[in-house]
Amino acid sequence: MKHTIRRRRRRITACGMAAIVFAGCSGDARLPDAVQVEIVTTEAPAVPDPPVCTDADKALDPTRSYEPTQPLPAPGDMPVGSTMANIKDRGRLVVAVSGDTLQFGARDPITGGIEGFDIDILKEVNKAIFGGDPPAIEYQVITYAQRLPKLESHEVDLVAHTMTINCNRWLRIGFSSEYFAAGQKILVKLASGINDIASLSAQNGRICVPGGSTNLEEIQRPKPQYAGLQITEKPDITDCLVAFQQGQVDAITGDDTVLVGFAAQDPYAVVVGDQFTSEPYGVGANKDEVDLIQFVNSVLENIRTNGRWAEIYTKWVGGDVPEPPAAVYGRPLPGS
Amino acid sequence: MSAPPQPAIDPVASAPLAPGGAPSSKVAFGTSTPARIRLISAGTAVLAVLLAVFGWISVSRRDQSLDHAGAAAARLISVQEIRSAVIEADSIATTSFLQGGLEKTDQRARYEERLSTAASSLALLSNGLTGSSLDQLTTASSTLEVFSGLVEQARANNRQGFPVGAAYQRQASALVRDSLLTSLDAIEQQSRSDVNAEIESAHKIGWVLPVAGVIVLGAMVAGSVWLFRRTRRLINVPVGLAAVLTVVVVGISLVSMGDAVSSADGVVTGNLLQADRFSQARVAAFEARSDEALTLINRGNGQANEDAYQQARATVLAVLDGRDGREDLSNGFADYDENHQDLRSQDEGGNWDGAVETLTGDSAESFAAFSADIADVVQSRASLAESALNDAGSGLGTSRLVLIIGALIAAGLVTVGYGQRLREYR
Repeated sequence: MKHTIRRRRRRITACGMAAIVFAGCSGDARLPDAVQVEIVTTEAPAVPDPPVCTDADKALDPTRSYEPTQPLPAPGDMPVGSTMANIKDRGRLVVAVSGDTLQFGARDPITGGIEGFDIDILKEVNKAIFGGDPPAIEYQVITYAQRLPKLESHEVDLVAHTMTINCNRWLRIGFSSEYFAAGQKILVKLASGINDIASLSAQNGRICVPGGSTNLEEIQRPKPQYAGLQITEKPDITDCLVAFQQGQVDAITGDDTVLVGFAAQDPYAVVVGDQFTSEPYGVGANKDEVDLIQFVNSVLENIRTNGRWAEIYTKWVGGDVPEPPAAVYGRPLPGS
Repeated sequence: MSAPPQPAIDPVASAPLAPGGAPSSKVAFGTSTPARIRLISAGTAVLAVLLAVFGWISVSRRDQSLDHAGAAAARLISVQEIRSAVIEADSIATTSFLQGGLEKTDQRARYEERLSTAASSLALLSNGLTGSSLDQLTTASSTLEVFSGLVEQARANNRQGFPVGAAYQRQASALVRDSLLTSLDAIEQQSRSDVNAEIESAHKIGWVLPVAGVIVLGAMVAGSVWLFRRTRRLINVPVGLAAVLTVVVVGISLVSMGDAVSSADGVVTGNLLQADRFSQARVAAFEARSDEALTLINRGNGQANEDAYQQARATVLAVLDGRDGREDLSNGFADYDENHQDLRSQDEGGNWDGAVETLTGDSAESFAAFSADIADVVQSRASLAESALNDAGSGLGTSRLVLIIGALIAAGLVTVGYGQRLREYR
């Protein structure tokens, strides 16, 4: 070992000497460039295009859901063989929710718990299944893109994630009746003099919108009230709030439910104008678990009429409490 | 004057009898033998003095090149220290973010210490930087301020329970990677090129001294040969001594320069290279740690961060498992990586809380152990490299003195030696 080291040193010295006379060896001692490593990222398998509604499908009102279970079984006493009985046997309800939509589904950083309008709706379902002092719900915080796959793979029982009921989604999952009537609005600075999207457009206002969203599609439509808008796209709508607070944009557009959450985080922001789109929210379930959907519809029916819905609305949205969205039933049962 | 007059000799020229006995008549300046001897004596002495001067310059230049290489290496080490500090600060910020208002006091203190280290080192680094590197440094300094501002906004929002805090934290971390580290990368790469250029130049300027030495020696030999032909006197002791002295001092200088260059080479391919490599692994590990936290901050939207984690992990492994790798460090990182995999499966299984607990528990512990170990390795290699590079040229000062004194003495000996012959013509 020692021998090798000595030999190496002598070689270096010899090289040094040679260098003096012949200016050689200069390529020997060099610091190589920074380490570059290429990793092979496995390409995600190509996802087949999601199914698209035919004109015949579209004839059916998407908010039309299955008839509610009548009467609602007593809490803790689920019909044998039903999806609810399976949940009860398992001992907990597993749901997927948003973790950062303030007022609808957001983690309280102090307690670590998740809370919001969507969560309270799920708690009502949980109570109806287990009764009394129900076990804690198992929450999975998921992204928008994970909402349908989580249900299709049976990883969760229900999804309440500010999810709009629409025809294409009905081809993959089932929906409860509408529990919240959301719609696209704008959020602007307090006392900015902007009352709606038309007045923002008239001022050539800068507006931020999440890229690839239906909100973006809407304001790109050739309508006169959108003509003057200068659109900035961000990967996530929360990034729009950062851009808004940093003065890069004058307004944000998105579902009013999300914007309400933004206004709650920023006392100098206010949601203005009327809804210019209609986004009916529903609780999602696996397509085949029709009994569960009917059960949820029955729970929703109860809270619409017993004042609980108004309480939840007041707690998370505030202001004047509107009438709960009217449930539409009569969707034909699968296979019937 | 006891000697009888010799009529055949021209008294004015007062030249001694030319070898071979042929009387010389009055000749033009510099063509008579004594004049030639004077000319050769003066010429050789001047060449020896020039050898002293050029030798001095040559050795000094090499010394300077090595000094510059040392300064560039120090800058490289310093930039990497800054990179580590910045990315460690980012990794603390992202981890603390997940703890919200419950972040630990010592973590906060470490974050602030890392930031101020980065800021003050950036300020120090501006000495000796020019051109685009200086621009990059200015960018890095101002970006660092924006970064810390964004982190504070993220904290403030987070403490109030506002999800927008996550977006601020994302922006802060993206800024570190897209702008700050990129600027520092550029300075780092420039420092590497500077080290290489200076080492190369230390190799290249070696020909001046040997060429000058050969010329002086050639002059001495040629002069002696000419003198031998004229006087049939085989050797003149002082001139012979001068030749030997020239060979010795030039030899000493060459050997000490060769030694200096080869020990500098040894540092560059040894401790400096390792300090550089391990430092890159250390920075990549902090990136991985930060990306790990970001996957959780982004709550399921973190695939890009997980990809970044894998990229950083690959960089760490490339160094630790590569040539001159360290098995203990490899094992330390493997422990951490295992915790990371647990964390990922918890998060992917919907157990976000469990994943956060792992992040701030097991994963934090194994990472802290690894990062302390690799920091030690980086620091020991870096300080060895710096001191060895400083020492590399230390023998050159002495050999420079030996050379100049030796060459001047040789010049003196030449004058004395030819003077002896010259006196024989009086």
